Amino acid sequence: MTEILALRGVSKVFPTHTAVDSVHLSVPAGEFHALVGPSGCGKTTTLRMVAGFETPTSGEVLLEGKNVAALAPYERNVSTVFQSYALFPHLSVLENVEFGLKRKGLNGKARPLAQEALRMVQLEEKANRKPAQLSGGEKQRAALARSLVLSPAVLLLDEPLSALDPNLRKQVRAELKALQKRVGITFLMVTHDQEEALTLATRITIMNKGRIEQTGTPDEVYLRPATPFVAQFLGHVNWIGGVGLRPEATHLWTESYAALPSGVASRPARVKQSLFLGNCIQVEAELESGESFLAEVSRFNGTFRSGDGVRVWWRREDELRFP
Amino acid sequence: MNSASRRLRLFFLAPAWVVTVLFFLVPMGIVGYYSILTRGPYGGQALPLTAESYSRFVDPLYGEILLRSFWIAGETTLLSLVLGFPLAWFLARSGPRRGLYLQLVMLPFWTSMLIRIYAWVFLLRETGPINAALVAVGLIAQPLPLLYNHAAVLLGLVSISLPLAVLPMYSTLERLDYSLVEAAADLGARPWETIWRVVLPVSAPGLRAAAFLTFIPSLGTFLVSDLLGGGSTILIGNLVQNQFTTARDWPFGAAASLVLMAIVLGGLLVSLRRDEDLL
Repeated sequence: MTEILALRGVSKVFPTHTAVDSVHLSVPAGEFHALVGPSGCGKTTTLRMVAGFETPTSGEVLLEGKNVAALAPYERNVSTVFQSYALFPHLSVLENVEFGLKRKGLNGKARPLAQEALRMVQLEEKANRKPAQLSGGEKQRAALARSLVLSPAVLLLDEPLSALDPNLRKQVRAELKALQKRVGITFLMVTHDQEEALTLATRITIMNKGRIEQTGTPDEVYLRPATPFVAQFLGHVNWIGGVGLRPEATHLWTESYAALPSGVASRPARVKQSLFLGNCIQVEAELESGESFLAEVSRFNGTFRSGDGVRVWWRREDELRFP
Repeated sequence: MNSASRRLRLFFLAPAWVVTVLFFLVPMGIVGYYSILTRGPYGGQALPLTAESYSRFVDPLYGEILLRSFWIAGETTLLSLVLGFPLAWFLARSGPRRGLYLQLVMLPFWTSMLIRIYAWVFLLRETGPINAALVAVGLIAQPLPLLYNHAAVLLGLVSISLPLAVLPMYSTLERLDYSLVEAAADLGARPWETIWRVVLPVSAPGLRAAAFLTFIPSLGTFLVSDLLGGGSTILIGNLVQNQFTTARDWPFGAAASLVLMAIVLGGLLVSLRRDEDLL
């Protein structure tokens, strides 16, 4: 696959701190790439350097093979969907979508192209509304149409789902993924929500304190995290005698079961409490050493009461190892 | 609404009503009444009631004064907006030192307007520092007549109006969602296109407030045109003032001020209606 966006040793130093510290990134054309990390990790600054709102202190931003680090936002073939959507309040939805086309000098073709883009996001009926008259999800689709209509080399999304209410978020997430497949445009999305990154992205880059911790596919970064930080950021990690384990790979065994499978590791433990989560039961238990851990067990596997003696067991291949 | 809450409502509205009636409606009524009285032969006014003071406005002399007042108030407004907008933008985006800069913009309010106008007289007069400096460096042989003309009045009006124009524009620009500016650039708009197509339309309410706050006081001014314009620039404010002082024609002065007020109120209503359409 051809590389469409690359960061080569990109740093951004602010007077008070270093926001981004020599970041390397390579994004092939057509990928849905997610930048995740806790707040202040530099992911948004990285996105803003690709958009052109910040100039890197050092390093190269290669867009379609050309270094655009010093170019203004209006000279770059990228487009941003803002966290607040940043729809122009004085213009109708249609005029918002036409805005970029007209700035490119496509005055004659702007109207039909904008209408087509609105059809694509199923917003053609709201074309003459003002942004203030739209719901959160509709605003987001209008912002997507406004950017996608320009066919940018890379579409940048800054926390695109965070302004939506939680019920809507899952539905919009699915729509966003389908839309990206359909248009085939490279997406670079910033999010602090690891679940969003895991479900949406082709590949994920996890950042921490201005540096990249790991880049990989969702199952790579989740199942084979490069660092303890990555492991803990993407989900809960149990530390059992120095071994890292995901809660769903942590199993419990009691006397009433058949014998333990052979070749697995196990330790004695005592149940502290058990929480019914609906789709599973989350059991908090304690090793003899006093370390506690979480196990997600099927509700068909019986009940666990506080004080019950159990054995915690896991398969060796499920252990998280850090190089 | 039950009677208790109605009584409470009356109680809270009472001060506003008292102020409005005593200090606005009653004086307006007096002015209105005076404007239809007949002027006495030695000043003063008496019955019978007549519309004569209003019919005198057909005289082209007064039309010219009205037109000149609107013209110079318009120039003042335009200049204040054009000069004030970049300043307001700078203030809104100046970060932690914003408070200090705002104090500086408001500094002129600490001085009486009269003193500020006299300062201009001092600076601009033939023996003032500007002329003295120009003569001293040899740029001119004779002092320039900087004072007592249209430009001097305009300068005085703009210097008084500028802070009044900057503050409402500042408060609008300060609330402006900066991601709109970034979005415009992101969609390919060059800086001037961003200002013209996004910043100005979005901050229209602040611009309109700034325009009112400069246009209306400038329209009624008589101090600035008197002191900086000498006799050269008679505005509607001077006309009203003259009728009440030297001319001793109170009915005509009252009529002139009511005509001015009617025009301003009419303009306001039209503009407010357009505001509603925008929403």
